[in-house]
Amino acid sequence: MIEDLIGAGFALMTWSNVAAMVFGTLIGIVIGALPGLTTTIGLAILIPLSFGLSPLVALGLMAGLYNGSMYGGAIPAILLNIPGTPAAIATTFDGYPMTEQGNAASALRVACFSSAVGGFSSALALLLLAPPLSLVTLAFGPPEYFWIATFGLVSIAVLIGGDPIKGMISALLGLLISSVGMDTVTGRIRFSFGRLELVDGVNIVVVLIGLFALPRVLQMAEDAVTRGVRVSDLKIGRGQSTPFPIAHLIPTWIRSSVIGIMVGILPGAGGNIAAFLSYNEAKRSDRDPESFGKGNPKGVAAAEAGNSSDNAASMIPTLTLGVPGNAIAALIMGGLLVHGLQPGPSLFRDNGEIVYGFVLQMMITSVLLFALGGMIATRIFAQVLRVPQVMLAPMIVALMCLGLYTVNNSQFELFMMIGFGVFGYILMRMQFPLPPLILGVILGGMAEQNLRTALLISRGDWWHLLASPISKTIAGLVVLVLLVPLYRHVRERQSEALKNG
Amino acid sequence: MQRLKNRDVICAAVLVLFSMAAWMQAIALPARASLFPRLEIALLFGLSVVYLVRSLWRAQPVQSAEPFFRNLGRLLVALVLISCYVFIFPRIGFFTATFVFIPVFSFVIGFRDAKTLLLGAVLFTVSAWVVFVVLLGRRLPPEALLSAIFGGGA
Repeated sequence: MIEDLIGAGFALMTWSNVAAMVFGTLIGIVIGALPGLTTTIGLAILIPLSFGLSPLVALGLMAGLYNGSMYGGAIPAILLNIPGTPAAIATTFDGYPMTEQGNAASALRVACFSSAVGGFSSALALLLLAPPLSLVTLAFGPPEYFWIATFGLVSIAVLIGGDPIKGMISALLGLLISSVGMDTVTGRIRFSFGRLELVDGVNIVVVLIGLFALPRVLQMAEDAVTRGVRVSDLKIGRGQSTPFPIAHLIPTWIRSSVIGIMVGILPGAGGNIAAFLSYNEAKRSDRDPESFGKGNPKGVAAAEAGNSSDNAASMIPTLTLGVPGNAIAALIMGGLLVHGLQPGPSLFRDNGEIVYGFVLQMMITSVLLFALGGMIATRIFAQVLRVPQVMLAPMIVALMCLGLYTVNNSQFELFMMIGFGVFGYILMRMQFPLPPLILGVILGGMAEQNLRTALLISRGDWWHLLASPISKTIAGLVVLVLLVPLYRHVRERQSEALKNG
Repeated sequence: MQRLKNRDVICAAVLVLFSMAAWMQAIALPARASLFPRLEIALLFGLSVVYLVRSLWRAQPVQSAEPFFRNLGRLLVALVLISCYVFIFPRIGFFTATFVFIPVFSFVIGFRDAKTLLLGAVLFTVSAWVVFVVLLGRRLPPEALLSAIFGGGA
């Protein structure tokens, strides 16, 4: 581990890697600052564009974008009361009141420092927890991997969004998409409808861009917002900004970082949940909880440290087990796959330098926020908000097409992307969660391959899937997760009954 | 009649029909190759039926629902323009197509500030050329129109 870490440290000291981290962080802040553009959309566009770059440079861009966008979301949340990303909703509670009191500069500084601290602690957790966990997974065989994939899929499907049935349907549609193409065992072509382009299956990048980026473009076209934010609407530096002693925030940072890391490791949760939990905990434990919501810097610190400390921690199950816990981790996993890196225990063994390099990039890009997210930079980034959305939409389309076309030079894939975009739009309007679908596409191969290998080893005995204690435990967890909606339903009924006396 | 208009009912019914069609495709495959897809489709069918029954049970009058499309006209125009762009750019080149696509898309959707449109298109196209061709050395479709005007070197 130490050798790989040192090797990774040296590998990162090249101009291309440094430029990738700086550029990725800047792009991330810009994407986060633009309401309507989220980390997932940014990553979906970036992944195909990074094709052809060396894996470390591509991962540096992704790490920067991830950390940068988490902070970027705070800029409009503080200045305009509009969260740039869902994870920045809790930042508006105290950030905007601070702006109204003339403390926008102070709020932005607190947000920037808190994001940096949260991101760094999260990366530290990834560095300390992922390698030992990856060693544990060496004891896993095909049945255990089948259950791990099932657990990842079921958790996201059931826990994300309010409707477990729609979540499960979404996941199954993703699994079906992953079944398209040549069956690796028998060599039979499945569900290709005679199209040679589908023999190798559906390119994951097509699905990522189509589902995550195009529906947003279509929404932008429908809304047709022709006016960006006017500079006069931004209240940066208006009035006398009160400096806030950063040392007072340390306990909030520690508490929020721990919460964010725990939320990050759990499947189905995300930065917004981490931010809300951290905010509530900061409010609950404060001597003056009434001051929250009225411009308390600790509220901004808790929300920002909480959402940023979820970042690298969410990569722990992704890198060690190959099972992403949320949509962003699923996209980064897609990015790893595009660059020929297979997440799981072998990732640390075979590509130690790259994976530790990524962990270091998550740390470095967090620290970069201190330099890049300061007041002057924030003024510049806030100007991005002036770009009208109707102009932004065709630019996003151009970047999507450019990225996708350079992967395989296939026009068929471009049209397929439009098809997935329309499909994603319909699913979104029908309130089907999209992360389970993308996870189904990513984990489908892993689940099928391990199920068939397990059945092959046991000569068709399905009980072999539950032979080992690890398999039994993970299968038990799957059942528990499936029972969560039932438990919620019973709880709701009980609380309703209590209310009605 | 009103209940049948419920979009959840329609969606669930489409899913039921889709899973039946997918099952027909799957059973045409050898058993070993179709084992996993059959499992998926069977589960999809089961859940779609549950979704259908639940939607029929809870069906809301269609008038009370939020409209499905915020603006169907603009959505269709956007889709047509994106499809045209995807069809054209491998033929005439990325930069030429993009330089035309950005102002046309924005103008048709409703942004009428010609100066900003032109400036935006120029800035984006030049930046994309610098980043992807000059810095990253990406091979993009040849700029047919520019080649015809300025000669083969364009």
